[in-house]
Amino acid sequence: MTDDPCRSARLYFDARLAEDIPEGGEQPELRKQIEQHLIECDACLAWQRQTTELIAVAAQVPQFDVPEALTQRILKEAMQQQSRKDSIFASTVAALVAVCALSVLLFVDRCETTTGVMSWLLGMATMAAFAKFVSEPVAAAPAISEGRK
Amino acid sequence: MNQETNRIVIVQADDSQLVRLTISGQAKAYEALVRRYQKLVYNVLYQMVQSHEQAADLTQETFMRAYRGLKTFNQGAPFKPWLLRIATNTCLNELRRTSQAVDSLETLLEENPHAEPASRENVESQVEMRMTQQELIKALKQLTPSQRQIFVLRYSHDLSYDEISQTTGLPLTTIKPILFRVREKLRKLMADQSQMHVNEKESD
Repeated sequence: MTDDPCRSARLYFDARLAEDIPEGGEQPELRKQIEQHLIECDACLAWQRQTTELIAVAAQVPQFDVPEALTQRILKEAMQQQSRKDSIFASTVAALVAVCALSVLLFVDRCETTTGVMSWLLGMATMAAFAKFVSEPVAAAPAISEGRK
Repeated sequence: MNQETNRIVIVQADDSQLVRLTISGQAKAYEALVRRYQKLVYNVLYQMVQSHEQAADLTQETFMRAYRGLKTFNQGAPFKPWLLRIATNTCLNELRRTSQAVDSLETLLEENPHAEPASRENVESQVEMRMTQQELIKALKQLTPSQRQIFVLRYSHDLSYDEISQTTGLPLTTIKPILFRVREKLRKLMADQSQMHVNEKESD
């Protein structure tokens, strides 16, 4: 106990609430002093009762069920996002395959020729075009929230 | 594995298994995560904003952000505080956007409650507080959003101090004094309300 028994009692009670003192882990002598103080001090007793009541009321605040429509909205949005990701991945793979195929067709046996160099340039341009194409749907992502309201 | 077996496996899977399955592309796994946590997320958000419409929008936003962020989620960490952190940050950002004050840590730690034997004038007046949920909801509105968040997570949703610390990003040692201050503030507000009722009755 400190010199201020009210302060000690409240610190003790607070420590119990904060689980700093495990059940049965407190010093019996201190507990006895606090209990005695609560018998004698109406203010601290009221303080303890009010705090306990506050916590009890907070624990009983009603919990609402989530409407199925909201669950479906969440899942639909996730699915849309997944299919957009899948489609971007598929487009990228397709683009890479196309560029490789085109390069092989144009480049084989013509490594030293102007046509060979042109084919590389064409390949690079195709890749750049696909990169732009792939980035556009991502930039348009906020459109997925249309169904929210 | 047939569909029914797969469904049972998903329903019984723990959070980290569901996260792994979701990342690998199993939509049903994400659905299981949504169904497991949507009520908690919705109610925490509702208690913070006190509007069903806003809570629904924020819940949807939370799960979308979580879905997008799953790949960055540390799979060794617990999922619940991670999800609640997204939810409460989304909510606090929204409140900031709509110009509702969100307090700093300094505000959360304002004054030293132990120094003043808590609201003696109210306590000693021996007001019999008969708290109702409506009164608590009214008093909660007078807290700042961050104070409300911490109180609600602890006392309405029974999160541990560790979980609150992970959700808010505040150290454990800070959570306890904040909770004490918030409890005191609410207790005083509700005692004042009760005193007002007593005064009104007496004047009738």
